[in-house]
Amino acid sequence: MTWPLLHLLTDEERATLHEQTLSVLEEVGVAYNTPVAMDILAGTGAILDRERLTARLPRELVERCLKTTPRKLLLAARDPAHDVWLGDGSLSFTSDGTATYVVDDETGERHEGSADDLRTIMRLFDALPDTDYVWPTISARDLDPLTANLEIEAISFRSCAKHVQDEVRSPEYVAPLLEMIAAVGGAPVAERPVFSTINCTVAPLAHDGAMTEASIALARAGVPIAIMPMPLMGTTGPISVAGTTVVAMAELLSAVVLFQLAAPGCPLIASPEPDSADVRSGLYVCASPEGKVATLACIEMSKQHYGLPTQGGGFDGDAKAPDYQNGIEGGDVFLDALVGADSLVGLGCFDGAQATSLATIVLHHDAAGLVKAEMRRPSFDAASCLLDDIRAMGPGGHFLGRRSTREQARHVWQPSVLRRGTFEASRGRTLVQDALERARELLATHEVKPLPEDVDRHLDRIIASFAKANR
Amino acid sequence: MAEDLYAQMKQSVIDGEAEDAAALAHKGLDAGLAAVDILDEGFVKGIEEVGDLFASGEFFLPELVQGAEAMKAAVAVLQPALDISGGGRQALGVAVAGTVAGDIHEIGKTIVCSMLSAAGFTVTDVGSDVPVETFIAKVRELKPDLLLLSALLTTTMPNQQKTIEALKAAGLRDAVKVMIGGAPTTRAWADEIGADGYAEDAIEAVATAKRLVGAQQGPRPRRTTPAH
Repeated sequence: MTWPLLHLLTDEERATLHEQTLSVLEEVGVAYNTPVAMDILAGTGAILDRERLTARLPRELVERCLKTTPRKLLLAARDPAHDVWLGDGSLSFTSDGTATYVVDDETGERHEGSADDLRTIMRLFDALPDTDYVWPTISARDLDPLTANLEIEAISFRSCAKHVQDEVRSPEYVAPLLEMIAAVGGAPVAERPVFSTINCTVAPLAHDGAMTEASIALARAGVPIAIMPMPLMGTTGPISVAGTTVVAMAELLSAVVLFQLAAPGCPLIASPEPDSADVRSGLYVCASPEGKVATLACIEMSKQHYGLPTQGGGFDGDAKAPDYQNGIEGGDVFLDALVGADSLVGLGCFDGAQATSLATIVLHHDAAGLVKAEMRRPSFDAASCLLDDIRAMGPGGHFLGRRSTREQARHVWQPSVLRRGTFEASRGRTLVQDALERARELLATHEVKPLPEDVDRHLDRIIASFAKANR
Repeated sequence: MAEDLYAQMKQSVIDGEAEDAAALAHKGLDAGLAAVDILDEGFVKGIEEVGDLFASGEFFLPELVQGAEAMKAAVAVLQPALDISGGGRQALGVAVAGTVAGDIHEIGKTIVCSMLSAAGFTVTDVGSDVPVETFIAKVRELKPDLLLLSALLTTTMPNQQKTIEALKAAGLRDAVKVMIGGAPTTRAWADEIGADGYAEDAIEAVATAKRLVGAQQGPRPRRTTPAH
């Protein structure tokens, strides 16, 4: 059972945000930055400027495209035991993505993440059961820039048997990636989409042309697209929470329109990530309260108003370490789930998603388990009140001897590293040390289900062939 | 009367009122004041105060950016007269900034440009998705002290390296200091590609820029740069 959805916005506020979003699309429009989008939009009623590659979208078009967007979608995994359905009422977590640095939990020093770091981290996420799918956590810097986009996916497929979600930067990567997806999934792409792509719009109200062309091609092949607008309040979004919400939703819906026209019925995920900019430096602020509220408003609009499968926020924040600040900043993701997010993005990063560490991954994973446990709505029916037990015990006594306690105690959520027990039992060790030790244990003992050898070799051939053709 | 006008010009920059600043620049010229005096006694005093108020924490980014815009509007009015008289803003240095080819993200670069302008640099912002050839052409044309290259995608970072290589090929590498920045870039990357400076945020960018032109970090020393 799940909790009823929490409504933060009044009906009038939702109607206002909806109306203002449509007005922005009709009056201001968006820059798609690719002639491919202009061709797709031609003849649909959109007002196009082919020179500036912009479009103004009539509300009828937006509403029509929302109707054809599926309410539920499959994120397949190469091990079907890890298949995820978004929009079926369950709550999933994904790893967070594309950090630049790995921090050593013992020294606090950071280094640029490498392909080996990515392998290690993806193996760790494979071992952690409350990670339902993965966004490659590290943007490995030691890979050839020409093939990095493909190599990162190959590393992720090899090191983790779960669904992989990542950005695809430009259209030349689409064909080899589709070949990889089909090989890893062992089926046509649309049938077993073991990969979904993230399409990041560029605030305010613009699309990255190359990434959009890639997403269009992937959508046509049946790859789910997660649309991720990220306006920052005060810089690339208006200074008000409502204004930044409108910009985020306008970007989101402009992408929905484009992809639904390109591939009617294609699976899409709303993944709004509005945030703030520091008012002094302009730097990205990942965990401002204003940004959090804008995200919640976007989740409510995406999920409750438009019915879209929706990804919400995760445990990333502005903290520079897996410390108290990191805990506080990620601690309210429960709200994202209650407002309707089908999954939460993500586990493992801090410092504005610029850094990760092994201890952080384990700690965030414990927190994910905690949130999932809170979101599993218990039954409050008469049978669940265990009145027979209460009557049997009467005043005083205890329930340890009851059969119901014996049967259900093992289902009570247990952390792997978050502390319980006595003070003395924890003395002399920090939580981060415990989490790091747990990570090392898992890495030493966990075995990733290997890719079939022929598939493994095929991935290498795809990358080599791409490199040869494009160097 | 001149003093009164200079005070209004200064205030228009502090208030971030670009239209007022342009109107006052016209008024000053119409009143027969020398363009270089209007600039130095009026508008530059305003942008200096904006910079000081930002440094002290009283002003935030919006005030800085709007002050820089007001300054830019005033300079646009004065430039023809400055060109004739051969005068120019006494600046700490001249900078050209842009986001590299294939990348349309520019907010970080825009903020750096505003901060550099407020700090006393003359800045030309060439926009986003800038081809390597355009950067080379601008370096030849404007002879800047600094070239700032922004990239926000791992896939466009290589264009920072390509620009540095192109400067070498054009025989211009020693003529300009190159700074790089952008979320996925790192100090190690800057070192790898031979950039002269790197900054993680706009505040650090200004300090780095000042260091690269040999300026003091505290109160501004002045040098005259040719008008262009």
